[in-house]
This record gives sequence, C-alpha cells and structure tokens, in this order.
Amino acid sequence: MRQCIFVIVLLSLSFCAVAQNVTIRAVEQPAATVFRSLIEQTGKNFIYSSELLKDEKVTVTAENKPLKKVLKDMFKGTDIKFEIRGDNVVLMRKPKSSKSDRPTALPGAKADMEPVMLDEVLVVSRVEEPVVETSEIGAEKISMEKVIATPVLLGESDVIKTLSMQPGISEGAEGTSGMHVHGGNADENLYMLDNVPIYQVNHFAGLFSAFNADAIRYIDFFKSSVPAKYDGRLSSFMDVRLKNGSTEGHHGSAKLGLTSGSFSLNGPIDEKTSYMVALRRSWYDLLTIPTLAILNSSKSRDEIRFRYYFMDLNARVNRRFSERLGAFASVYFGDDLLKTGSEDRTSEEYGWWDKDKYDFHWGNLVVQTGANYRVNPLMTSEFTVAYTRYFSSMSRDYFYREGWEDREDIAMSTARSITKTKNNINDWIVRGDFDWHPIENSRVRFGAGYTFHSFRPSQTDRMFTFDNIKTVARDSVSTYHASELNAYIEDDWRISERFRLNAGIHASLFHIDGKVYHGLAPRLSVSYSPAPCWAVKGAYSRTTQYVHQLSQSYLSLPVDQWVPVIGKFKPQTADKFAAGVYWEATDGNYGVSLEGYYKKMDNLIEYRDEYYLRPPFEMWDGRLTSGRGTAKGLDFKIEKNFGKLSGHIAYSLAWADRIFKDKNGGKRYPARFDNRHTINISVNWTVSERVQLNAAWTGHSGNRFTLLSQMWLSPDFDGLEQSEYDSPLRAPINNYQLPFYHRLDLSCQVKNGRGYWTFGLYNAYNHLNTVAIRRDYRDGKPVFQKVKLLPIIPSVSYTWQF
Amino acid sequence: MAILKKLSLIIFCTLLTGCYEDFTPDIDTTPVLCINSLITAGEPINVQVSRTWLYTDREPSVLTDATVSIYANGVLQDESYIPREGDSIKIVAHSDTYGDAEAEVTVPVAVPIGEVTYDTYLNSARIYELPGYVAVGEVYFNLRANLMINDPAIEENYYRFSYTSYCKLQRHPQPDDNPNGSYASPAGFYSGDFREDAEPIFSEHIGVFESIMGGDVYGFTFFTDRSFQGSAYPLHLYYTDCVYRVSAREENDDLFDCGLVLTLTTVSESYYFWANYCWQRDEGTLEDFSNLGFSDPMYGYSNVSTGAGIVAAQSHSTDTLSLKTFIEQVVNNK
Repeated sequence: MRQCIFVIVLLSLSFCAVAQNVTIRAVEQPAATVFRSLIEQTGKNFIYSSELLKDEKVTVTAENKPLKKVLKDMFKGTDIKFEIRGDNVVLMRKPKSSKSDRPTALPGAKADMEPVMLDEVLVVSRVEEPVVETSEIGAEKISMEKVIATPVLLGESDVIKTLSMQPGISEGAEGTSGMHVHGGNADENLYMLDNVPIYQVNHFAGLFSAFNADAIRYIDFFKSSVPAKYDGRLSSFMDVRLKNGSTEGHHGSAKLGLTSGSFSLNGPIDEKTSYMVALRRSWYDLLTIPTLAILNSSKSRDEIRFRYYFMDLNARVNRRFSERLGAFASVYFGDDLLKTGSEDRTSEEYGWWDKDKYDFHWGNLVVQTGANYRVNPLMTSEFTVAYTRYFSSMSRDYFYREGWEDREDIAMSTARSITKTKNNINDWIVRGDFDWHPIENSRVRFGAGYTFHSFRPSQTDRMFTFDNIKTVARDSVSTYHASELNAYIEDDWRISERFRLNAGIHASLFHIDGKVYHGLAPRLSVSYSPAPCWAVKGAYSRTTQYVHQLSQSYLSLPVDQWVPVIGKFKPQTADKFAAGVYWEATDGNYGVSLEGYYKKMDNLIEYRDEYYLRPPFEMWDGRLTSGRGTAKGLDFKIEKNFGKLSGHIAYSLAWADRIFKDKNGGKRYPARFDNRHTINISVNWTVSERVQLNAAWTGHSGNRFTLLSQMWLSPDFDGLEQSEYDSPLRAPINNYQLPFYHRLDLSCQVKNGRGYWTFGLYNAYNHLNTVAIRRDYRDGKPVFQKVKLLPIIPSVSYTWQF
Repeated sequence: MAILKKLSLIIFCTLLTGCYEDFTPDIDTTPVLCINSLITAGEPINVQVSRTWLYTDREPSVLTDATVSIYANGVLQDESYIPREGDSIKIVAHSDTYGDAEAEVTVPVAVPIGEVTYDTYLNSARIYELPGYVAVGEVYFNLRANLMINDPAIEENYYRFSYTSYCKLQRHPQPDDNPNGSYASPAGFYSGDFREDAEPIFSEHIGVFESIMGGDVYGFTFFTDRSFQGSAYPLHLYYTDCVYRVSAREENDDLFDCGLVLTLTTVSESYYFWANYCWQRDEGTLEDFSNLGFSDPMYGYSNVSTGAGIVAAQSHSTDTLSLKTFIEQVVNNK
C-alpha cells in the first residue's frame, strides 16, 4: 500500500476552485496522484506527457501555499519545468527543443499557450482517484475534453450522448439526448448544474442537450453507488460543474457549426474576481428567413410562418474575499422558441380567409449564488441559495373570415379560436454542505437543504369567438406548492490498507396538499483490495423520487409536464444492489471493470392503458397508474485512458421490466429499452500533433416495440364518422424486438494556429436502423414496414481559440 | 389547420430522413372472435360477429360456425327481446374454431332534455312579391340555442348530442339553389353549419398536446358529465348560415314551420371510448408519432373479452326547436 503516503485534501472542490493557494502533504506519492489533489483545489488542468512523469514520485508538503511555489518545490532538482497558462498547468522537460517541435493545443486547452514540446498529451481535468482505491461503483468522471472528442449528430457536443457510451446506459429515441440508466425511465435521472437541479435538459425536442460544452469543466455521474448527498431521482445523478474564470488573463473561444454558433470568454475582473460567460445559439431561424421569404413571395400560395431557435447562456463570477472565504454567483438560461403558422391567401376571392398561428416557448432559468467558507483546517463548507424555473408556454390562434366585406347580400362571419397553455415549475433552494476530515482516514460529508416547489402542471385557456359571441373555458388545474426538506451524512472511511467503506443516509420530507411523505435512503459501499491494482466492491443504495414527468412520446417536448407526487400515488423508490471487480494499472492507463446490479423500483407512475380516451383534466387519478419494475444486468468495461490511442470497450448484459395494475392488463412486460446486449466502443487516436481521430461504435439489441399485427372489423355505428374501417387488435406491450441496432460515428479534429476544425460523420457507414414498425399499403396491398431513420449525416465546425 | 402537426413531422422526417422497408414479422397471430353491436333502448338487438386477421391477410374469411347468445340481467333471451333502459346485457359468441368472446354493457337511462332556449341572428332576407305566390323568398340567419341538461346525480354519464332539421312542407334546399327558380316543394330549411368548437365541452377530450398541434373538434359531439356531474349544464349550440327558402302558391298552416329535432343520447362508456378512440386515431398526433417510433402505438379500443369489437348501448331523448315564429315574422315584416 502506499502507506504513509496519503494526500489530504482539505478544501472542498468549489471552494478551492477559486483559490490559488493549496494545502497538500504527500510523501513519495505518484505525481499523478498529487496532481489530482491540486486539480481539486485549484480547478486547473494539468497537461503533460505520460512519459514525462512515468514512475515519477514526489514529496511535497505545503500548508496554504501558492500553487506556483508548491509546484516549484515539487520539481526542484528534476529536469521538469512547468508553466501556468490560464486554466492549464503545462509540464515539460527543460529546454532541448527544436523548431520542428510545434505546439499542440487540445480542444479545451487555451489557445494562448506558447509552444510546448509534448509527444503525447494527457489532460486531467478533475480529481479522479484510481478506481481501485475508491468504494464507488458505477461512477464516471467525464471531462469536457471527452465530451468534445465524442462524435455526435451534427457535431453538437453533447454530455448526455457522451455518457450513453458508458455501459449500463441506453440511448433514448434515435438521435435524441434521452438517457435510460439501468433500465430506468428518462425522468429518473437528476441533472444538476453546479448542484442545482435542472428540469429541461434538451433542446429541439431532445436532439441536443441543453449543456453547452464550452462552459463545462467536468461532469460527475453516478449510476450504482450514490453519494448520500444526492437523492430525488431513481436511476442516476449527473452534476455538471461549470468552469471558473481564469485569474491570469482573458481567454475565450468562438465556434461556428452547421446548426449553432457559440462564444465563450473568461478572465479576471480584478485580482480576486474572475468571470466566465458562454453563449450558444442555433442558426435555424437565420436560415429559414430567406427561404420562407422566397416561398412566400408568391401570392398564389399560402403564406407560411416558421421561426425556431434555441439558445443557452452560462455566466459565472467567482470572488475570493479572504483565505477562508470565497463566493460565486452564476446564471444559466436556456430556451427554445418556435413560431409557426400559415395564412390562406388563395381562397379570398371565394369568400374565405384564415390564419393559423402557433407560438411555443420553453426553457430553464437557474440563478444561484454561494459562499465557500473554511471553518478550520479540517472542515470546509459551502452555502447555496438558488432559484430554478422551468417554463413552457404554448398557444394557438386560429382566425377565419367567411364572406365578402363589400357584399351586403351575403352575410360575413368571423371566428377566432385561441388555445393557450402554460406549464411551469419554480423552485427556491437553500442548502448547506460540509466536508470534514475528523481523522486522517476519514472524510465526513454532511449537509441539509430546503426546497420550496411551486408546480403549475398545465393551465389551459380556450376561447372561441364567433362574430360577437364569446365562449371561454379554463381548465381548473391548480398550482401545487410543496416543501421539501432533506439532510444527509456520509463517511468515506479508509478502514485499512485493503478496506474502504462509504456509509451514509439521506433523509427527506415532502409536504404537499396537506400530506407529508418521507424517505429514508441509506447508502453503503465497501471496497476490498485483495492485491495491488485490484478491488472488489459491493454497494447498496436506496433512492426516492417525489416528482415525475408525464410524457406522451419519447421526445422531449414542451408539453411534457413535471408533476409532484399527489393523490393516491406514493413517492417512487428504488433499491439497488451492485457489486464489481476492478483492475487498474499502476499508472492508471489501463483499467478493467465488471459490475453487476439488481434494481427494484416501486410506486412507478405511468400512463395507464388507453389513457388518451379519458378527458385530460382527469390527469392525476384517472390517466395514471402505479406499479413496479426491476432491472438487472452486468456492465463490463475495458479502457485505456491516455496515450496516442485511448478509448474503451463497454459491454452490457441487461434485463428490465415493468408491471402496472392498469397497464398491459396487469401483466409484466419488458421495458422499451430492455436491450439485452449493448456494446460501445470508443477510440481516440492522436495521429499527430495536429490531427486527432475519434470513433464511436455502438451496437445493441433492438429496442422493444408494441407490434399490432392483427386487425378487426370496426363497427359502423350510425352517424359516427371514421376514416378507417379496421382497427388494430391490442397486443402485449413491447411484444416485439426490433432488429439489432448498430452505428459508427466518426470525427476528426484538425488544429491550426488559432483553433481547430472538427469534421464529423454520424452513422458513417450509413446503416439505417429500424426505429419502429408501421402498417401501410404498397400497390394496394397491406404490408408491414420497418421505419428506418438517420442516414449518414456529415458535419463541420470551426472553433477559434484566443 | 393542423399545420404544426404537418410541420413537426416534416422537420423530423427531413432531419431524420430515412426509409421504409417491407417485411414480414415473425410473430404469433392467433385469430380471435370479434363482436360488434350497438344496443338501443326500445329497439331489437343486432349483433355482428367476425374474427380478427393478420394485417397482411387483407380480408377476413366469413365465419360459418359462430353462435350468439344474449343475456339480459342474467337471463338468456330469445329474438323477441327488446332492451330497456337499465338492462344489463351480455352478449356471448362462440366458435369451435376461434373460441369464445363476450362483452357486457348496461343500457343507459335516457336523460330528458331540459329547457331549450334560442336566439336567432338575421343575416339577410330577400322576400319577393310575385303574382300567384303567397310567399317567395329566402331568409339567412344564424341560430344560437341553449339545451339544458339536468344530469342525474348518479354515476358517470356519457352523452352525445345530435340533431336533424325538419320542415313541415318538406324540402331541404341547397345553399346554391336559385331563389327565383321554381322548387319541387314550397319550402325548405337548411340548418347550416353546426359549430362544435363553440361548445367547450365538445373538446374536453382534446388534451393540450392535441389541441396545440391543431386537433380539430369537427364532427365530434360526445362528452361526459365530469365537469357538471349531478347538476345542470347548458349545452351551447351554434348554427351558422341557416337558410329558409319559400316559394308557396297557397296558404298553409305549416308553411313556415321548420326547425331542429335535438337529440341528447345517453351512451355507454364503451360507446364514448370508441368514439374518442376514432377521434384520437384520425385527428390526434400519437398515431403519427408512433409511426416514427417516438411514441407507443394505439390499438383499437374494445370492451370485448378478446380485445376485438365494441358492444355499446344508448338511449335517446329528443326535443324540438321550432323556428316557425321567427321565420313568419321575418317574411311578414319584410
């Protein structure tokens, strides 16, 4: 064991992110391990060749010393030198450079870097203890570089699609940013932005994630063992941490892609304050304006109105007030706007004119401020106040006129129909988190929080005006106020050289509509290291979910509603057991893991059979049903973390099913994303200093689909209009498995002096995957047809760094 | 109208340009019996029995070995049975080849129509004085009526509203008839366009999603009593572009007597769900999304044990809305 070798990290992550002073004590510790601690305290990236520090062990002791001095001491007497450039600490061998050694700047590293000589580059962007030394199971730490390097649809870097390459995670509907973790539903993942929940995590009906990669520092993701700090969703927890502004100069980037453009800037405001701003906006509306202008120039056609954009803005300010006190404030605003409609200009001469307008606007706002305070050398704290708002508003305005204004012999009538609906959630959050090292081998985290929720699931107004007669109807949907109180404590305890234990509990109360629900969620994970580089782990987690999303489709649409647990329903809970075996090379370059899990979910809520036949306002009791679900499986992963060739191969064997009293006739059925076998292969190849190739291949057993194969003769009831005379016979839910799904995505990054080009190919070998089966006719004969989507789609973007 | 629905599909289909490929799925399909019947209080029962078939088989073969039994309130009935309101009727079908199927429904109790009030809005009237005619001309108007429903305070009720126009001197003119031309009969009434969208309760089945996507209530007049259970509710009825035409050579007491026969039908839950299913299938968006794999497919609603067919029931109440006074006043005052 690396006895007597330990690193005590005294400062919490966000607190240290703004501080340039560090505290560290390491004796004969691998340099990479020391860097992890420094990264945690400073938020800097460390860029260096893996050869450079191979087998390099360092001894350093510092108590609240500047980073520069600590590094100086660390490399005193070696042939390694370092430079701090913005967010990056670049390590290199002392001079022996030649002109042929040109600079390299990876995406995400700052462009103001001077030439450095690096044969291969490793970027560690956050603390990542060796997997064999933690007790975590199913945890992933994703760097921004990894997100950018993952080839995706239309080149839009996407956190969620990057995560879906990990074992145990299924993609949602084809092309979208859905995520189904260990057999869970899409709404069972808690997405957080700097620890504050965010409800709307997609743009454009789910095609793109709402997280702008330019603003991300790293992502913490937990799917099996869950830290006690997190609760509120059943399947996974993803905390997206935003970048801090650089304290040593202004840096930024601008990106122009096929679908959107982005701009980011960060730097110091004064010696103690820094800022970061990142803005992303889509181009669609700019592209459609001239197209529609041409189309609408002809008066012989209906006039079409269409405008769509999405945007997101991240801004953050950090300030260091003293050695012990720091603070930050941040804002996230993301929204989608769709305006469309048409105007009939061709029927006016026949006495008819109509105009149809649709307006959609939906998104998220998160405003938060926090303070980090070091209570004493052994305890740090963070206090946060946040406001998060999810909103969607939709309206339809239809107007028609019948008759002629200049003819008195024929009556003219007008009618107007307006439907408006609003759906929003407002959360006020106050929380405090503490990190305490009472003894050398123990780290206790505890905290408490209060959230005041205000849900307005759907308020719909309908108005009809015919000539002068007006009819108004408003759905009597209430606003639901709820109070949520939670507290947690956990101890991460290194019991001995071989044993490590993390035990905790998360307690919560949810008060709504005169009822109080409570949840007690114990967490336990243990790790045993039978030999160096090896670990065997086991974990149990219980999670509780008080809100759920009602969605009629597998897309992310503004009509999807988040609703709290209410009425006859109980909070959803999940109990998950996981175990795994891990091996990781000493230098951390290679790793192999095999994890197994069994998850039992209770009080799940779904739309019941034929819910759409019941009037919408009967939502709570009439349209939903509760039930149970199970998921089990094995996740295997082998990875190479750095070097010219890096990447991973992941394989999952999984089962997931559901049973609901009022769904599928009360019989158990497989979940839609019950993909028995899933293989994900991700490869990143640094061809040269300037060129990097990335490939991601995914293949999985086809999604489940409800195939209605039989028909019956519809009744011809008197006066009831219907367009079809055959009806499909009900069949067991998800009774059919679609063909095996596979796809290869490629991307290539080519760097030049000021930035880099990214070329992408989605579905590179153009294999159209089956996403559904439909009934149709060919030459008058009824046929079943596979519906295949998403052919090869190229993309290109350029990112300018400054 | 539903441009958004079209646009959204176009956007997705454009972006996700794909293709369709014919294939034959390997899936077990065992045919089952299907029963269809609409039972009306006071009328003989007609039952249609068929069987399901694989979609690609096109036409179902004729059933030759099926038998049907009808039970009313638990008692087997013969062909002379006439259903009454409140009867619980079970239809059982049997086939040696396709097995059994059964469905049960209670004939709902008719809810009498309460007070009917109306207002007329004259758009225009053209009255001519022609030798040999006592009245020639046409009256264009809109009609607004309130039909009071006194919902019984028992369990959930499902309703359907319907109407027919009548004219005592029988003729239903078409809107483009030549007013000066000769008619085969002396008068006629055309009830114009019935505006379902003027009564919010006719669109209660349309969710926000469907509503925003342009779902149209046209032709749908089923509704529930969920928003007025056990109390009175005025059904708002609007008719636009009503036309009364007359071309009479002699006086007759029925000359201007025209109007509407309003029918309030109390329907069984199965009938309401079936009607709603047809609307969702034809006007809704879920079917389109499911064809792209973005939502679960919809199957035909059924209350038969095999999942195939509908056994529904209904009872009617009717009332008459006479427009004679209004028409007479317009013609005589002109």
